Amino acid sequence: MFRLVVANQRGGVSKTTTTITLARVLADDGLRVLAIDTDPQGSIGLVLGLKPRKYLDDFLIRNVPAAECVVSAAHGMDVLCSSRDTVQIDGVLRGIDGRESAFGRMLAGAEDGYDAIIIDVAPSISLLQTCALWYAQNLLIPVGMDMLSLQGAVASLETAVQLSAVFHQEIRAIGFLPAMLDRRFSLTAYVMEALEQISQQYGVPVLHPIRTDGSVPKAERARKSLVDYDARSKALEDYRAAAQQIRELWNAGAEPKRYAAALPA
Amino acid sequence: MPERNRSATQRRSRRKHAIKPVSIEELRAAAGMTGYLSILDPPAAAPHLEQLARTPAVVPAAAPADQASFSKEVRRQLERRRRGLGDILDLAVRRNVLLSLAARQAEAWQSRWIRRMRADRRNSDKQSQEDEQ
Repeated sequence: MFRLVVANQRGGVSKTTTTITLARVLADDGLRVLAIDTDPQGSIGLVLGLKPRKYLDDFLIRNVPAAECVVSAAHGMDVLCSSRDTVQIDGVLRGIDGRESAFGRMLAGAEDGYDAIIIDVAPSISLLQTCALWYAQNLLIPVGMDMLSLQGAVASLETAVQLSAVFHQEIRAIGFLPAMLDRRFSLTAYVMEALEQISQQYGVPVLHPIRTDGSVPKAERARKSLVDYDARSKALEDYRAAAQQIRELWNAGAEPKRYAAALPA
Repeated sequence: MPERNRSATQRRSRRKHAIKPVSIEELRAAAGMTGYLSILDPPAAAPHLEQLARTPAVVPAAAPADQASFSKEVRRQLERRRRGLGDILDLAVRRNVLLSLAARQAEAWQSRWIRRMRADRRNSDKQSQEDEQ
């Protein structure tokens, strides 16, 4: 089972696009993928034009079976959508001792029939996010080409490092995924340089960057995934390369004590 | 023509500001880059907030409107509304006056009726005593 959380504590860095496209690319490769949206803004359902009858809060709080909550987005790709009611989940989780374990067990019950679970989280710090990290144990950090995005990436990584120490369970950062890359801007070079530095310090690889592509917002407007909207777009080409790298990293397995050097003294 | 050419060739490009390289130390030292797991802490006690929540809220009086800042139309509408409210208030006052008058009248009728009943009873008692004698 391949489980992955796509997170960056900064918004607008292509988390949702990455989740959707990665899920679709993996589904096209023959995997059965479940994309879970834990962002109360419910962007995945919106972008793909899905019309779910039940949402994540129904599954987690009201114990509605997962099969009733997921909707199919493509062949081999299902989505567990989010709504504004997802904010209730944090309140419910707050009152539960061992919430991470409970959350993990709930989602483990939904795993049947899937090869990969990809979770999109909100650009904030929430219990839902920590539970998702604890459950998935793998983190992918998309990074936009700006300072705030870099800072959000470091914050996400530090959160994973410290959660690993608290839970005595490694949460592995699969890699940084540079997104919306446009080399015409001088800042891009500086951000990539900083990303390399962070990568070396934390031992987290920088994956194949995703170039800026006008097809991405157009696909969102058309309520389609990038694969369906423009199968020859350069962003999709990059996502395919990144997905291949992610699968290779996944197959290589977790490197032990990855975070040891980065933990605060 | 030569003048125009000169101005075109002499146009200066926008000044580019040098960008300092970003370091991880700088990112980690930035404001807000602490307390990553504070979400896991139990809720902190804030008695002052609890006290405020228990105290009934006092709605602050509306600040006097700056009449000069209103347009003529808005002022006319406000005046019309104010007059309408005045009429309603007048009606309410009148209704209250009428109601209080009616209540006083009813009270008077009631006391008169009670007095009459008592007098009737007294008369009937007197009559029955006389009959017995």
